[in-house]
Amino acid sequence: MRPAECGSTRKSLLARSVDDAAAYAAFYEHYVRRVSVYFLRRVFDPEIAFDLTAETFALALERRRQFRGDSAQEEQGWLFAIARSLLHAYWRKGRIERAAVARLGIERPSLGTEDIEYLHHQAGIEALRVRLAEALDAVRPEQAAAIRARVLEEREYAEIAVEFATTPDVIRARVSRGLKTMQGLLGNKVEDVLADA
Amino acid sequence: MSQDELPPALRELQDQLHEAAQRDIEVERRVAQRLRRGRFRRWLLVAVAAIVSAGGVAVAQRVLDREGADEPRETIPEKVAPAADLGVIPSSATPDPSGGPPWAMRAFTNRDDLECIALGRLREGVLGTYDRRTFRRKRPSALPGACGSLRRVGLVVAAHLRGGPEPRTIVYGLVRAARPVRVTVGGKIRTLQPDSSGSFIDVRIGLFDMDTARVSTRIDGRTVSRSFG
Repeated sequence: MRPAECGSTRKSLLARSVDDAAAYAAFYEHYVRRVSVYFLRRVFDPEIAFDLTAETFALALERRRQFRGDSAQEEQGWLFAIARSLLHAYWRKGRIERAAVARLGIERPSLGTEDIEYLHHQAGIEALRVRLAEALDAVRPEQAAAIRARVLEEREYAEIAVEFATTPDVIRARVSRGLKTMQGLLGNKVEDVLADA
Repeated sequence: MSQDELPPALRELQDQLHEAAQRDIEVERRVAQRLRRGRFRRWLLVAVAAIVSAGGVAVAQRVLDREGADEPRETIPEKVAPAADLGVIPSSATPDPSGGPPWAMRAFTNRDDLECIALGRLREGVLGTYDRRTFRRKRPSALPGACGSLRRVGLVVAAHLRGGPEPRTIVYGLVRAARPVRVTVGGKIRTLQPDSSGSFIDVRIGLFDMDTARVSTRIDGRTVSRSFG
């Protein structure tokens, strides 16, 4: 079932999937793009995003009998609650949960070039990268250098301070002001890009 | 490839989820069918026994006991409360793959001198249920279990199917001779070594069709086997 065919008033595919496997396949098809884009825009790694997507749908399958709603809106909220929880667990623990995929006996398919290109295209990663680069070029050079060292290279403030012959507090202030400027430049655009995720 | 079409890996994941959903629905259907069939058979036997027997009540009681390990049942009724309680068997404690209190067994003899087993989660020496990280102590009559003649048959077994978000198939029992026990569920065999009391618990992730499940062991030089179909 294509998303276009499913209006917001349609009945929940997830509720139907309790005793209809085809409804679960349709539920997956309806949401898999949004879920994988949601993950990819946050982890920027297609392999990790795919693992998180697979675990989200495996958990949703296992827990679908707990879903109490009956509308598309409710099932979407329910599914993204699982996705958010998995994403936070990934950030907190630094590893991906794969327990539900294993319990269901799912063999994780390998991602090919076609899959990765598809995911990048869906997530608009290239466009986002260009916008970020433009915004970074627009801030003051010392702030851009501090942001590169701290955010992109993930170095300690003290180490960066030594390199720039200043104090960690100054570096902290440059990063903070630079990010604020970038946010001002990108704010709406980034929100537009992330809006549907 | 059109952007509306899913790429190969996402499509393959969809196929596998579809198959997993089909398996899950089929197992749930069989479990429900089996429960309905079990209830119907039990009450049919009770009704027939009560009508044709002068000692109808006694016979009905016997049927409700579900004597024999090959007739696993949901709970042990209050009326067959333990005559002698052998208590919880701490050495039967078996961890659950998702954590929480371990699974363990209680064994007792009922008024008909049959050996009964009950299954629960063990915490601080008592058995109960564990759901959504909450432990609830339960009476033996509120736990899954079965009764049988350990002395005559040598083996009392039962199966517990738990649905929900963390589905489990648990085969458990008591064996007179503490010899290895082979448990076959879903075509996969596990060999378990019972503890010194003869108890064993096999915990598996997922719901399995019990029609083909089987437990076997060697007792007094012969193979004793019990099925659940």
